[in-house]
Amino acid sequence: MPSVTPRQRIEAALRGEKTDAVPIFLRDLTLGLDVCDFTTPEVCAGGPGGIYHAQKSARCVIETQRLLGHDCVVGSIHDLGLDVDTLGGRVEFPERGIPYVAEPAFSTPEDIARARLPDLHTEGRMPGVLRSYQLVAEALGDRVAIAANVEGPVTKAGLLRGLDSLLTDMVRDPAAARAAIDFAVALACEHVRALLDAGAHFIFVAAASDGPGVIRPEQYLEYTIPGLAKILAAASERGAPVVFHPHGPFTDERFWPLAEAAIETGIAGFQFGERNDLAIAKQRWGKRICILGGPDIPEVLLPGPAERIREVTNEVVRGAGGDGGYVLMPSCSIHREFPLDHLRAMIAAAREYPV
Amino acid sequence: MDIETVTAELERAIEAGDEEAGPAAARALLDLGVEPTYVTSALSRAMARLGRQFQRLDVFVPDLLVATDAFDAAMQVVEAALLKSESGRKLKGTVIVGVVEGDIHTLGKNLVAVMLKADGFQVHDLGRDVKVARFAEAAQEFQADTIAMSSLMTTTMGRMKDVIDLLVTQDRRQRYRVMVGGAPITQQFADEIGADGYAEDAPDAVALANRLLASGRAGGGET
Repeated sequence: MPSVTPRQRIEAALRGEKTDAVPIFLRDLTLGLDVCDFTTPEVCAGGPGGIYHAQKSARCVIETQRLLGHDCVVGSIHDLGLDVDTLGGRVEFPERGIPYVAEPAFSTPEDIARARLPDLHTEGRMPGVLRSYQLVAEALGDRVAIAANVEGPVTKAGLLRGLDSLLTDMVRDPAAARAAIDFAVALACEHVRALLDAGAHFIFVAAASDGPGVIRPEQYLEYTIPGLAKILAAASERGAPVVFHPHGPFTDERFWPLAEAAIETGIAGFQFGERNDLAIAKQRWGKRICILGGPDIPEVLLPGPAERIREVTNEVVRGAGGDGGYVLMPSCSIHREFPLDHLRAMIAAAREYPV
Repeated sequence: MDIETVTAELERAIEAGDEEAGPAAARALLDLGVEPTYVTSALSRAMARLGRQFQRLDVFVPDLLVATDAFDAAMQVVEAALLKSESGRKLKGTVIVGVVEGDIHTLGKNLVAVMLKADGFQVHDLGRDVKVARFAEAAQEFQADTIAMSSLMTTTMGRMKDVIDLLVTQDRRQRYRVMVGGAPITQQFADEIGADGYAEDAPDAVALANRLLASGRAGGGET
C-alpha cells in the first residue's frame, strides 16, 4: 500500500478527512535561521544590494523540515517588513532577532492616498521571497505541503501604518483606517497570487491584530471579514484553500459569531491561538472546517519540560483530532532561539498518537 | 454645574476618549475650587474602570488608546495646577518602563505607563527597542525604584534577564523592583529570570506595582 505523503496528510486534513497520522504544521517562520546558523540580515537583506537572499532562505526551510520532519512548511524565512521598506518605511534586522518595522510606511493618512501597490516581482525584497518559495517547491513540493504566510487585513494595515495609529484612526478617523486597510488587503491579494504562482499550496492568513484580542467585534466585522473574503477570492482564482488565524478567545461563547462570520466566508481551516479550547472548537465547527492549533507557546512549549509537552500534546490531539480534519500546530508562530527539543517532543507525541 | 456633575462628566469623557471634553471638565473642576489631587483621583478611577472592562473584553485596544489620549490631555491641565499646589500630588514611587531591545511593540507598554501614571506613580517611559544598559542607566538617572519591562516576542524576552543580570553584576539589583510582561511572558519565566513579578496586562501591572510597594520588597531605589 503506498504511503501517505506529508502533503497529502495536510491536504486531507484541510478537506476535513481522516488520514494515517496527525498532520503537523510548525509555522516556523524564522527558526531555520538557527538550524543553518545564519544571521537574520544575512538572509533577509543579505543578497546583492541588500536584497532578500533566496537561496539561504530556502536552505533554512528545507534543512529544518529534514531535521524535524513536519508535514508543512512556509516557503521562506518570513519577514514582517517586506512591504514596509518597499513603500518607504524602515525595517531593522537584528543579528539574532527577527526583522521588525522601525518606521511604518504610512506616517500620515496622506501617505496612504499617495501610495501605489508595488510590483512584487521586481521591487524591494519580495522577488527573493518568491524565489525562495520556488526553490522550496522544487526541493520539497511533491511531498511536503507549502503554506504561504500572508498577513490579515488589520494586521497588515497595522504594519504599514503603525498599529497604534491605525487603531486610533478606527475611532477618530474611520476613513483613514478604511483607506489603510483597503490598501493592505489589495496588497495581501497580490501576495496571495504571487506566492501561489511561486509554488505555495495553500494560504495561511496570519492575523494577530484581527480579532477580539485587539479590536472591537464590530470592527472585526467591518474590516477583517470583508478583507478576508477578498483574500479568499484571490486564492480561489488559483484553487487554493485558505486557513485563517486571528488572535482572540473565539471559543468564548460571546465571540462565537465572529468565528462563524469567518467560516461563512468559505475558509478551509481556522487556527485557534492562545486562550481557546480546541475541544470546543472541534465540537462546534469541526464538521464544517479543519481545526488547527495545539500547545500554548508561553505556557507549555517554551518552558517545557518535554514530558509536559508530550502530555499536553496528547490531551489536545485527543480533544480535537480524533476523527480527522485537524492539524497540530503550536499556538502561534515559531521563531529563532526556540528550543528544538521542545518541538521534537511535540512532534514525537503526535507521531505516536494512534489515529 | 456642581462638582459631582462635572466629575461624572470628566470620568465619562475619559472613558469615551473625548480629547476635548476631558480636559474641559478637568479645567472646570479646578475652576470650581477642588484640589488638583481630586481631579487626578477621578482620572485614575476612570482609567481603572476601563482597565477592568478591558480585562473582561468588554472594551478593546482602540478604546484604551483613545482614552489614553483623553487622559493625557486632562493630565496636562492638572499638572500645571499640581505644581502650584502646596501639597502637590503624593506620588507612590518612580517607575521606568520600556520595551526591550529588538522589540518595537509599544501598545501594552503604553497602556501600562498611562495606567501606572493614573494610579499615582511617576512614570518615565523609555520607549521601544531599549538597550539593556539603558534600563540600568535610566533607573539611576531617574532615581527609580521600579523597572517595568515588556516584550512581545520569544526572540527578545531573553533581554529581560540580561537587564537583571546587569543589575546583579553592578551590585544594584536589590535597589529595584523588577516587573515583566508581554504576550510570551509567564510567571514561571519571571521566576526563572529573577524578576519580582509578572503582570498579564496593564491593570494587572498596576495591581502588581502596588503589591510590590506594599510588600516592601526590594526597590529601595538609588542611594
